[in-house]
Amino acid sequence: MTTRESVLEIVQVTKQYRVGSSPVFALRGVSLSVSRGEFLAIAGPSGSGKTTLLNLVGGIEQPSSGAVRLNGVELQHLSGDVLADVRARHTGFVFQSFNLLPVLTALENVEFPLLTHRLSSEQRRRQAQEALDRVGLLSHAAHKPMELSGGQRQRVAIARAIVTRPAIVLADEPTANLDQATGAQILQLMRNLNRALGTTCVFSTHDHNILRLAERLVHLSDGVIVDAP
Amino acid sequence: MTTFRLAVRNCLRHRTRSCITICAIAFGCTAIIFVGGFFEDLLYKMRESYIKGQTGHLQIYRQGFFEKGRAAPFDYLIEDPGQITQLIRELPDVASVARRLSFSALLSTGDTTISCLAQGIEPDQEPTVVLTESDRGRRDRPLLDGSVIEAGAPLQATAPFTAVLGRGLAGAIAATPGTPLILVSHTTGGAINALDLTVQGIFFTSSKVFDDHVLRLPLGTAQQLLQTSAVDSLVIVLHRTETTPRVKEQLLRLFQDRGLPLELKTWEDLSDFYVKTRDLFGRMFSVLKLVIAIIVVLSIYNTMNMAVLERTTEIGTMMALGVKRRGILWLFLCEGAALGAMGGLVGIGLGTATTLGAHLIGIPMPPPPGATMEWMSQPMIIPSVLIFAFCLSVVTAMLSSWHPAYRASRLEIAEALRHV
Ligand SMILES: Nc1ncnc2c1ncn2[C@@H]1O[C@H](COP(=O)(O)OP(=O)(O)OP(=O)(O)O)[C@@H](O)[C@H]1O
Ligand SMILES: [Mg+2]
Repeated sequence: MTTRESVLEIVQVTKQYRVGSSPVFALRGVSLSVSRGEFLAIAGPSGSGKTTLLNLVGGIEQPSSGAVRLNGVELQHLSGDVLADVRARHTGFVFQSFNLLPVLTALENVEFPLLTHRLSSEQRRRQAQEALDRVGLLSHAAHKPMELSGGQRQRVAIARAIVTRPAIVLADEPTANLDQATGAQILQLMRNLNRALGTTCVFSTHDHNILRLAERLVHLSDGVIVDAP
Repeated sequence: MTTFRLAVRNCLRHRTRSCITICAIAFGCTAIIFVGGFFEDLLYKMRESYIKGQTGHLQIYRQGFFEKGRAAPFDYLIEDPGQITQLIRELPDVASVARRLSFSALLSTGDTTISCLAQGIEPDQEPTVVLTESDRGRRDRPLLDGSVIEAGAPLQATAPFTAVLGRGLAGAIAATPGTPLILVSHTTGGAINALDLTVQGIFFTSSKVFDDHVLRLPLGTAQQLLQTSAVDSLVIVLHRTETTPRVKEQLLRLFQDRGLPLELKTWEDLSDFYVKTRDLFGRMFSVLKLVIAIIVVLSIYNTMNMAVLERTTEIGTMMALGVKRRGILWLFLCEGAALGAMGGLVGIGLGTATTLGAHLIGIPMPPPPGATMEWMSQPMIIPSVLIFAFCLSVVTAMLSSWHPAYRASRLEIAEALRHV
């Protein structure tokens, strides 16, 4: 187990925002290493920097200082277009409010990230169907997001996150918009996929009930990693 | 390809809003198609009635006539027009060649005497139409085929001592068909000569000035009055107006090859008024196009701006999933183009239907500037205007989507995702 290579390497990362003229620190020196196939939870109260940390890993924001190395690529030096390619190839995203594209069907939503890949349309379709099947929603392929329940939407979103077979799936509070039971099911699904596909997964939450499913837990508080309280 | 499908679906998302935008564009297109067709019809009718009623397609004179002939018309006559007339008649595009001899004269009924412009013409070569009962509803129809006889009968070569008078001229001396007249003029030698004529008919053309001054009599009679066998011009009517430049070239070559001292003018050179009217309408049409382009720009801009604002989270999501900034830009440009194209297509349908309806029913119109006849507008459907209207919609739609699309593509992903 100790020989597992690390997919993600975060070194002394800080993130500073400006609100008016005064600086706000969202992260104040975070270092973290995540191995391939890990199922990691980031816990912490509201405002502790969970979203910010996941955004830096996802190449959606750039750190103020420090380094983020994903799959051996240093993200902090990359330009917008290259980051977009990294996201398209190596990263899957699951959002708190699902963020499916409302004009697309479930299957088309799952297929969407593949549009930036060089694949034939049949291949795309097949891969999307396979991903949708893995979350148990192939029967709802033709449904629009409006015609799905919250739990179903999040499952479609998970299919969309794994369809590109990314190095890492980032989920920012994936259960916050769902009731307890559904949230637990969603997390269980993610855990199963993590086991079955070996996809590394990092999710954030402030819900203690679902933390027990995590393989490893990191506590964030006021922009720094702390020992479990 | 897929971007375009996504764009179309996004357009269909807010049906009411898209519908209003599409309608605004469609009405703009309809206006362009209808007004364009209306102008084209008006210009076509003006042109054809000028050509058939007065100028012909081409006129040939002795060299120098046009420049200096006004002062000394008899010094610039075509002395022996027979041969050249024959040569021109052999050209395939030519419908007729009519010889004319014009001169100023005094016209008297015994009580009243006024000056007029007399035209000796070949009645069977000059396009003339007799107004029938069924023509009266559609007065522009006969005008397209030549000068119109509104009372009496047209000139006939077999009745040499008769004349037809323009409507205004006849009114001025209170002449009606059958009225005896005396026509007085100089001969080419400089002496005074006079003729007794009977009014055969009253005519009008599309030009009031022409109808106020012109008397027409058979060419032979005119030559007898002026004591000459020459003519001053040959008036050529073609089968189709579009062939004018080609025939002009052929004639100029003919003059050169044969060393004929002749010059020629096309109907465009002769109908300054038509050319100016055409330019004026062209300018007016451009203003209309501009106004419509502005309407399209504003309505699309508004729609696209709202779309970008509403879909901030969606834009953030797409970028997070690996869509590049130019992909977002392109998506919104496509949406604008799709709206423009739908508006353009609906506009072409609506415009064609309206124009066709107006063409079939006809719109009664008052006389155009400088004319006396009421006419029936029958707007035409012009393919180039249809294409223009469509392209205008799409291009202006894309242009006005540019700024909203650009803003969408510049959104900060993290902020867009936090947006609620
Ligand atoms: N764009 C921004 N401008 C200014 N401050 C920001 C910005 N984004 C985040 N912050 C600040 O950074 C800190 C961390 O925010 P972040 O959203 O990462 O917390 P979080 O742990 O995800 O909280 P929550 O559980 O409520 O989602 C907060 O204090 C927040 O106010
Ligand atoms: Mg958060």
